[in-house]
Amino acid sequence: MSCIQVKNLKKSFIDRRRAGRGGERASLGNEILVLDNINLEFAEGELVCILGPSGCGKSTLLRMVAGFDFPTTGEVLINDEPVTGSRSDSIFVFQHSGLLPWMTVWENVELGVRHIQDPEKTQTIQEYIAMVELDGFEHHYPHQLSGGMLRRAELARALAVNPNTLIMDEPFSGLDFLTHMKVREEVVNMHEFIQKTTLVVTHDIDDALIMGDRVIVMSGRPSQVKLDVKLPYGRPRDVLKTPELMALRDEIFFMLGVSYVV
Amino acid sequence: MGYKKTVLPFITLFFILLLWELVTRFSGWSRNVFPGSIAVLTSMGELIANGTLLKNTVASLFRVSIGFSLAVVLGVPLGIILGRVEIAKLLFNPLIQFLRPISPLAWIPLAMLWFGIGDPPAIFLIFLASFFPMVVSTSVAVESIKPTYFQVAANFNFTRVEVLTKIVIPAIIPQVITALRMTIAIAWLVVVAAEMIAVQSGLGYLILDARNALRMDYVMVAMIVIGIIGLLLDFIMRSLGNIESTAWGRLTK
Repeated sequence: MSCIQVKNLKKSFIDRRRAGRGGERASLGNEILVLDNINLEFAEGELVCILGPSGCGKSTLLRMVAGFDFPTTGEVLINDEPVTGSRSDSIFVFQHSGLLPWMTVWENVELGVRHIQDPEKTQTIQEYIAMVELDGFEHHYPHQLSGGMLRRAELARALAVNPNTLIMDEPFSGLDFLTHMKVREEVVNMHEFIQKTTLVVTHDIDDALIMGDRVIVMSGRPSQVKLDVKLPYGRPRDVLKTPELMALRDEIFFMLGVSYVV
Repeated sequence: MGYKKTVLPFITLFFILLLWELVTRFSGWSRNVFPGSIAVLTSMGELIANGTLLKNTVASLFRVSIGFSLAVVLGVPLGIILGRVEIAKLLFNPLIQFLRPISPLAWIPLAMLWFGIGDPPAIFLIFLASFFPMVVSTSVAVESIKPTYFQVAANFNFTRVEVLTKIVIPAIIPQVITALRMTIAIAWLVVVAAEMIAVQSGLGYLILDARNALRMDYVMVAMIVIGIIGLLLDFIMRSLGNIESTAWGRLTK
């Protein structure tokens, strides 16, 4: 069964800066085509990494899958139903923390299950918090946590909902090198455990090669799918010792305009 | 460190009082025009002993609390509506921006005509002075809420009520607390002026009455008390910011 379909999707924005004072009138602005005729299908349980130059619209694509934004033409279908708005079976993990700063870790994780009347709910929440190794920090507020802990808390919040789809926008941006690797490992383990469709936008080619069941490379604006490959390698995987992945890595670097790969 | 924080300001205070006393002694001004610090403190003792000071302070605080509370109770919800509902903003923002720069003191003649003599006109003026800053600060706070939080709300299927109680209100609290601090200071400024006109009690009235009796020492006592109460009000409003769930506002700004 195919889970998410993106069909003939085009997205354009109005350039308000050039549109001047009457910017809200579409006819006065320059229309900028960001995504041009995107056709993609994501299978259930797939971990897909989307790469592309900055500003290419990869985050915009995610936001449309999440229902925060809508295509100019074309459509996004989840289980054959068009996405008409945000829904709690596809949880979005925000680039910079999407935790609510006035709520503790516990309260944030509870958000997705707040209506459930179940005596075991407390235990479930505790389990998710333990899973991301945040026991002891349940009653801390987000501003008291480090960058990596924030991402992990947000993961716990997403998992507690038991969503069908996880959508992550640059989940490792702004983290230091070691934390980046740790959180990445966490995401991979989590995917292994829940086996749900996971879309990850990243600008880091190695992230994509290490994590993905499939890697999609998008071109610069107007953006099209330039490369779409499956990575049939088990995880954890060592990119350096897998010649096919190293070749792919060079190819993607070249595709993104970097010809001198370190 | 702790004792330095509490002791040093009092050292300044002591030297100011000393300097003040010395200046009045050697300046050659009449003691009636420029009473010294010892005379003023003695008069303060008198006014405390005969209850005048307490009575007038309570009267002023009463008016400020009523006028200010009314302004908060009406101004914050209106600010939230203006910040959330585009059409409400288009309808009312120009009116509010027009009324805002009119000094509350300019309303005194109308206030007296409408509400007569006594507490109501004074309360009305304090209300006016506090209402507009509260509305404007609240609506600005609502408009500056990060869109991410509303997306989280949509993602977790928040109802409209939940968006209000779990996103909008907690998100604006840090800025609203700052607005409360600024506004109570304005209200406290205005109460003195309001009491010079329409009423027979309060610290403003005490100043006016003392002036008529040419008691500059009483005028100064009232001024000192106004300053002290202002400090206390600010301290109370500031300590609201120490509530744990609002601490993020101080740290991320």
